[in-house]
Amino acid sequence: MADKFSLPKLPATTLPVFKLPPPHVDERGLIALASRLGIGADPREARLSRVGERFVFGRGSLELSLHRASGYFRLINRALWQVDRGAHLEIGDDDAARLAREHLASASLLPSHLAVRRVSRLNVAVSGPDRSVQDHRVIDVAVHIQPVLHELPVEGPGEQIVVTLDHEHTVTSLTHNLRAVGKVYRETKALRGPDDALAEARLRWEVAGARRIEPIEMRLCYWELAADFTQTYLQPAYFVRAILYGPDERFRTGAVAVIPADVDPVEPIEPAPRPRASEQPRATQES
Amino acid sequence: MTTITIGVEWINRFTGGCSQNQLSDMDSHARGFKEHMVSHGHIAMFDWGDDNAWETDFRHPDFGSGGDSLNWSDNVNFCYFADHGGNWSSTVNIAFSKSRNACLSSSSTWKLGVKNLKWLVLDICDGTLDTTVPAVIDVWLSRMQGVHIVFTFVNTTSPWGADEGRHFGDAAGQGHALANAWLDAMFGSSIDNTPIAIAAGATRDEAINRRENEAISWRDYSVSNTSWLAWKWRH
Repeated sequence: MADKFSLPKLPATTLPVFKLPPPHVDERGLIALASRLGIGADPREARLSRVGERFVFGRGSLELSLHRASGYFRLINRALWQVDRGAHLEIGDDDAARLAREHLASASLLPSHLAVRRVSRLNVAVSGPDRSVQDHRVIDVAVHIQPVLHELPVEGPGEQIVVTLDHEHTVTSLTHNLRAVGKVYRETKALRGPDDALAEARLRWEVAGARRIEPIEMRLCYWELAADFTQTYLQPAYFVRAILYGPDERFRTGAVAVIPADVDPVEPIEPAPRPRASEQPRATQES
Repeated sequence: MTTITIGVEWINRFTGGCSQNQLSDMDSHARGFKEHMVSHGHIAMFDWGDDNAWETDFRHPDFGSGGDSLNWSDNVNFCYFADHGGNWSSTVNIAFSKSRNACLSSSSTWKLGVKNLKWLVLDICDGTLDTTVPAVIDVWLSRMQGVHIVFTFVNTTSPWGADEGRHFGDAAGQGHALANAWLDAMFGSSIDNTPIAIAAGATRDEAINRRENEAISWRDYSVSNTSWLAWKWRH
């Protein structure tokens, strides 16, 4: 087991399960959101389109997309976001987080309780015949923020809130992957202990053939689904990460398990896997 | 519009005689990519999963009998491979479910891009072990023989969602810069992974230009020789 691994503490009381009201997402809502974010309210000056399950508002280099199923949205400045303009960004995590918070507050998007999950950096490097690294620079910093409900972070398979800053500390993208949280539906019946949840995760991985399991981290959180899934309830879950080794130890794999924290969850914590068509045997003379 | 050809291979279940632990969502990653590229007008040439994905599809014929890369992985412009990966002795190795003709394929048997391949996704762990010159140049410089960009991961990643390949295919199919699209689709702060894109060029400027700007419309802008690599990663 990894040295830093520890089990999360079990709260002393049950936790609320929240109802998630269905998002009201349409072109009108997209335009209203664009106006709120200060990128223009007049649809005659914008490009409106539907791309898959998203509504997209474009104006100049700005692109705002809004997911129909979840209400998640993202604003990108395509002229600046992830673009290498030859500069190097030198900023500490705390300063980046402060700038991100200030930006979210100015857009009235700052959660009342939050945790900074991570500050990531976009790096570039190049090397040629002399085999030395040239031009290693950081071209942006992204602050990954999670809202906190009842002292638990809200997690999910996308990013929750991300603010990306370039070398001039200009915001180049804003991701807001959060559903509106409604009233408490009910309290959890009883919470499973973290030992029990870890044992379930281990069992899943052993059934899949893992011979050695190294847990990395485990968190108790509220679990949100990805952008294009509908979700009715926000429920507590254990998020477990591990490194798995199979029969050939030269191969290792990162693995994630999401285990319901409630002994009797309101609905499955994750959507059912899509049915897979069986593979027909490939002919032996193919080329 | 530039139309490109696509081939995908993926393995979830190792039930064909070669022994690895099972994976999940590899089919969704590879097929999500393929389906979204097709929705943008590109052409899917093959989709081999589990026991139908073969080592010979990646081995160049110079490296022994049966090497058939010129008819499969190197016969399309964009190949997406989702599976286990391992990295030792400055080679990347990918694992197959069924031995045809081997359970593993080593990058020492690859000549990526000598025919049609421009872009290769290795949606695997350990595509590089870190971002230093030995980890990137020693593994990739000699293997990239015409391919423009390789997309993979530093160290381990955790395949846990069905959407990542779809998001990458959607952005690539819309004509966005490929390296940026890969990093954006694959990075996850919760899983602490490090996606990386490695671009080739005959010159320093060419490699950097591909890393920053190359899109699928660059299909016919060939890499005349791979003397430089420019890479980009989020961590």
